[in-house]
Amino acid sequence: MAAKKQDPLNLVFLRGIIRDNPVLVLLLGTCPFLATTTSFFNGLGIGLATTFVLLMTNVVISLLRNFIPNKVRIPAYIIVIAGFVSVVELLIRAYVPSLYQSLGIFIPLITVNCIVLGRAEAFASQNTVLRSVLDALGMGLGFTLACVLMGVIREFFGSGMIFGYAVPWLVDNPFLIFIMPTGGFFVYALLIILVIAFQKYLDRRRAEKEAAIIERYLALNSDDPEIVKAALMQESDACTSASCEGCGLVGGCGMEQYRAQMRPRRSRLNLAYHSKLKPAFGQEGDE
Amino acid sequence: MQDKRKNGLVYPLFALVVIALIMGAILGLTNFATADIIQEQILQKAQESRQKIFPEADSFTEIQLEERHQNLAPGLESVFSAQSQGELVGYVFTAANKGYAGDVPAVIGINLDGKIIGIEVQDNKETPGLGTKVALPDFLDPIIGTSVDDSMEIVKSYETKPGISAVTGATFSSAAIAADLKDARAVFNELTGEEQ
Repeated sequence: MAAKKQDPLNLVFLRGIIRDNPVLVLLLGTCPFLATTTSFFNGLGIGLATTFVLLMTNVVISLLRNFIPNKVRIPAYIIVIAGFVSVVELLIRAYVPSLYQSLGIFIPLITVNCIVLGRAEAFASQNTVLRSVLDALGMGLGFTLACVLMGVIREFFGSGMIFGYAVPWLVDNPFLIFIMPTGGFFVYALLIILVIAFQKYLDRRRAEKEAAIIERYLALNSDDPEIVKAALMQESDACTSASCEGCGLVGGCGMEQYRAQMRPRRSRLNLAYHSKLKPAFGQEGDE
Repeated sequence: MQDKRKNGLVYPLFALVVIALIMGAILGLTNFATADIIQEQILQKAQESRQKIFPEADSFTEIQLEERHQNLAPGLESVFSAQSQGELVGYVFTAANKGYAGDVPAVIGINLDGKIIGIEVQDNKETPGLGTKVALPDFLDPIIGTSVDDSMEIVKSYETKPGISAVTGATFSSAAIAADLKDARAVFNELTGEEQ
């Protein structure tokens, strides 16, 4: 039985924060993002409210994923999402009335926030509850961080305040455009650039690390392709065994088949493998 | 690979009903837990509106509503008399009538001369940006200062007939406010008629 390679649990959570940030990378949920993030408090509010809805709907949809027939999955998801949005609206109205006044219509609009429906359809409907919880928390946290960052910037320049406290001079001469939609778009663009730049930096760091590994092993034992291959493979996926023989699972995890089917990643690691070692033992798949 | 029954008509319907029931239960529980707190807030907001309308008043006394009041004013919710240093200065009415998407509650203050001295629209579910415009000064200011004897009929914004000028495109919401005003007037006349 072929194994389905799934991201490890910590990655399911972490990728929602930067690499697959829902609003800065996946560009979902832009409507409430632009409209409500005029201050730190509002940004935090919409972020946490959306995270709550994301979490609850991911849990429920994941629990019911084998029960909901494919034909009616979208209506089913919408019922669940709308229900939890109404719940969060009542909770906010009761316990944080100031947030209820400032967010207004955008609380019920969480129902049509693409992040919620998107994660339900793409992830929660096909993964276990634990993974769905981590995904929801990661995506929610990524969204909240983006909203808070946006809120702080727009509040500072657009209202001359920081966390509700007035900033001298700026509070009397604010750049009003920042709290208007136009300003929102500008700051949004800047944040996307920031994330792309940061992601490129992280990718460069990883490429450098891989290059170092190649150097190390090719310098060590450039004549024995078997050892080099095993060493390279160990570094590039989670399994630490060179072959299934020495391992307690004896191939039960499906890692061997996975390695055979794995689409080559365009990394220098893989290029080194293909250029230096493949010729040494014939076609891929013979192993 | 999908279970054959899942492709039928009955099972998907059953699944949707079950999900709706589950979510309904969750929502019902939440409502039960928060209803009192929210009601408290609504009352608090109404009190603040009353104080805003009669800034000189130092106490408000609720007047018991009798059946005849309810018959005169179907949308009436409460009546308070405003006192300043023991002297009656006016009455404040809270009435809610049907607008476009539910009731539109308004707190209306009328002084002893029969002048509408203040009107505050409370939380409602009218269309944001359109129906909610009835809470803005553009719509309310022309009403403030008018007398209870003036016409409270809704007129189109471009007409010059006497009456309350409706918000363009939000006739239902405007009509709700007009109905609230009529309720207030009816009870006001009843209360002041008694004293004479």
